[in-house]
Amino acid sequence: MLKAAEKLNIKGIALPGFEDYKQLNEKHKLLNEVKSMFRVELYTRANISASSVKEAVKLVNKLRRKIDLICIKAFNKTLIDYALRDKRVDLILLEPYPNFKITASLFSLARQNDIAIELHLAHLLRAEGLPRSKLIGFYKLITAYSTKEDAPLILSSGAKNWYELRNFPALSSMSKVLGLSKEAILDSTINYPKKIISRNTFLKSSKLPCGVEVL
Amino acid sequence: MPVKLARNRYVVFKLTSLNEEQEFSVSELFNTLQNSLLKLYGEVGASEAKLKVIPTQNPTLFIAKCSHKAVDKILTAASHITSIDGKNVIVSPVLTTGTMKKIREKLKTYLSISPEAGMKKPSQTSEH
Repeated sequence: MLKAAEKLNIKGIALPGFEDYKQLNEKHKLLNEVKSMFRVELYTRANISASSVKEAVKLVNKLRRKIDLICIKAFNKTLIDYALRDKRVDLILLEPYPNFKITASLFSLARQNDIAIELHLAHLLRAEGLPRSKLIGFYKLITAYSTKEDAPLILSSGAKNWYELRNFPALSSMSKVLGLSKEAILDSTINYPKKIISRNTFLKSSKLPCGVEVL
Repeated sequence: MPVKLARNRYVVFKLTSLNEEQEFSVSELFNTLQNSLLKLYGEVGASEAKLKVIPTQNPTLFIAKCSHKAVDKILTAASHITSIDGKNVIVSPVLTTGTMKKIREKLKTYLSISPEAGMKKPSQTSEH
């Protein structure tokens, strides 16, 4: 996948699989070995898919400042309610068709706490026909709410295979179908991810407690 | 004064695959792109695009000629392609121009390939 990313001139990739805090050191070592082999910046990412809020809080406590991105998979309403209020969480991954109602208040909370909502465009590549049309409808609803509430939205490829990776021009043309403007596409594919990465890189290296801002 | 109703756009696409030796024929490229367009935008959308595929001598690049109104549709349809003839590839747009002359200039500048070697004359292109 990294070879394909290099060919596509992708600048950076957030590699998932850093959820297990006990194996973090080993995984960091492995990552450092791989980093020198490719011309792609590699960032660490944990996709937390906890069954309860307590479990999610524990994982966030353990992983904060040790990895670059903390993402919570929104499975149920209580988990998303917690994730939207915890400023240590960077992203909330909205997988297609969650078992709770998507409302404007979710996006309003996301804007207030500067937590980005993430959508994976690889789902569009995997689906065809009616499932794809339903998926486009679902994604359009999310982008519409995000635009209305001015909430940060991140569109990533979400690739599980190398051929599902997409570079910026391809992501932007896929995003146009979802009804996003040019500025919104630029924000969701470049500016917001860049902002989160630079914020977390700074926090990883400094000893400032979470929530303290440097003026 | 006669007015040209349909303006054309030429979109250069790059094929990325892990297997360097993979080459695709014009008909394979055309069929894949047309099918993707048909699935996403339906029969009316596909007919409005007026799609033609022009090969280049670089096997990883090909040009899609289409109506200026359908550029976004072509770009989106191409981005949704994950395989051609059962072989996995990534199709990513490189540049869009209004004339073949501009394509030659831009490819020469950005991709540093010889324009004469890279392009075929319009008479050599296959039409569908």
